Amino acid sequence: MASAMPWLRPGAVYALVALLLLWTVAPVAWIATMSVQPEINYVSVPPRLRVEQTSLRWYAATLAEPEFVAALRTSTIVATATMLLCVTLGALTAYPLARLNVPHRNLYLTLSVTARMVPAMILIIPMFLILRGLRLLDSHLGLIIVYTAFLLPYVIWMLKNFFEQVPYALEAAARMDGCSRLGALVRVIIPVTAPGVVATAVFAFIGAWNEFLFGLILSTRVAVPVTVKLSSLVSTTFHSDTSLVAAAGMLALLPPVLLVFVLNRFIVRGLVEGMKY
Amino acid sequence: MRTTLTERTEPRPSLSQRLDRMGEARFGLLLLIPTALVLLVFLALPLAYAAAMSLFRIELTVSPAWRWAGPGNYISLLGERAVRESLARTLAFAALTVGSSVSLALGAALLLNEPFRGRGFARVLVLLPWAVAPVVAGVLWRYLFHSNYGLVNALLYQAGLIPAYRVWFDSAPVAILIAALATAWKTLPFLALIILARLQSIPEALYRAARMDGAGAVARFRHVTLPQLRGILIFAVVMQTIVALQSFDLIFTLTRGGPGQGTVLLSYLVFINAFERLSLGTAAAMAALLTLLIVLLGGLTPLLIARRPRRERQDG
Repeated sequence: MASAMPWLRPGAVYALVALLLLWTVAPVAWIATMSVQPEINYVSVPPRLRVEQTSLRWYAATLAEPEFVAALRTSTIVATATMLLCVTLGALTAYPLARLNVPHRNLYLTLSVTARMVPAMILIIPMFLILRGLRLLDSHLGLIIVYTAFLLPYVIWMLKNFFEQVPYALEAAARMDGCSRLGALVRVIIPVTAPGVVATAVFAFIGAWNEFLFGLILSTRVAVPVTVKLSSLVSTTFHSDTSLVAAAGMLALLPPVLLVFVLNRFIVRGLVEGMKY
Repeated sequence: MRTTLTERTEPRPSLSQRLDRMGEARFGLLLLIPTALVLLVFLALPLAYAAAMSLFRIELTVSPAWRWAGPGNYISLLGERAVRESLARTLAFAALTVGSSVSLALGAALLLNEPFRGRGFARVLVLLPWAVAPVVAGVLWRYLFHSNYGLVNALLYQAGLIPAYRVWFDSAPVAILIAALATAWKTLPFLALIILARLQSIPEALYRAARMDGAGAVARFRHVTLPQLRGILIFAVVMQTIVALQSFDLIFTLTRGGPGQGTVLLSYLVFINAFERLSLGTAAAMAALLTLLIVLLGGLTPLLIARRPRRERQDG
């Protein structure tokens, strides 16, 4: 579409865009700077950043810390498994809701929208007791199940929106060619909506990687995710080297950020189409 | 050998064939079962569990016993000063967050809709905060406004706007404002994205018609662009209100609720009651009220969007 604001001069547009990008990037750029400079350089007033002192040694030190590496591993395992489980269960659920004549279909859809509004804070109070009963506290499996349950309503909704867009004729043709019902889902619907499915998978991965509250309460030693580890670093190491905390923060935010930048096409379309009411 | 013979004469249908012969409704319901089980046990059960807990006095620091309280927790909540203060704080925070994030997102969307060189790159870069965890966003903004090594202090000091580095987080209103801005930073990409998509879908014919009616650029913006964005803006306001009411992670690393109780929002108060004071009944009652508030607000969205004034409904 053409400009909606033709009274803006090109110079003004570029100035405003520069401001927008500064606002977007500055918080990350500052911690990135801190993570490659000795603390004394940015603590001095005014800060004296020295290019020749730039070093990755704080990253090396953080990655040599067994507890932090374990946290990165936990987040990777839990986020990957949550993503796979969410997409599998989500597809099995979204398919009938989008394309089959299921009784009480609207009730299920309303429930899934309502479930998205339930705050994690109310679930976490009894969740501790439930997981303790199931002997799943402080375990990868426990986090995977809880994250999946929390993210599924979003995932179902997104996949439902994508599946609805596939023409019925396509599915009918596949069935006439001898494709089974589940075969039609796996060989026709999912491939045709692949960009949307990828966006949904990324959404689930990032949601699980970035989750905090459940990990904080449900994990103590073995299955601590990186977000929880980072928050404990921030609150306890004020006396030690801040560059280390900055490097840990960068390591915690890089995986989802890289995913979004690499897959940005899928994600922009996926979020816009998938989140539609 | 015999088994293969009988199978040949009377082939048992495979699972896939049995599924194919099933009625459509039965097949659909069958597919819903795994998800229904997961959501029942790990979403509906905890919700019902919490609702039940809210009717008991459970003080784990005293004893593990549940003592029936009926609506007692709810009644005492309303009388508690900490709750009233936290509610007021939460509403102020929500107003600041919604106001700043929706207006900034609208500005960003309008800007990213303008033709300029490097627009594709800008649209990708703007996504950055969406990928950052709220907890990490809290850390980023804490360092941005840090009293000893914050970028904001460094820039203001070098520009001569402040005589010395300031401690930003020692004032509750400033801390609330920073928390609101950090939340706006985190959610701006998503809101800007959906507003931009709506902008791009406004039919060109509407602008042409307005131009033929003699509408200038400003009039076209006011009478074509803005009315077309009404629905998506209401959606953005409600979404952002829900985000603000649920806020916890970001505050946890940004201020830890400080100064004093200055940034203890309702969800944070639930957390303190549940996991520091171990008053599970009170915490559950508080969380139930918060959930009710959020679901009611969220339920309003479709109603608000549906009630579009007829006069401006030009696309139908």
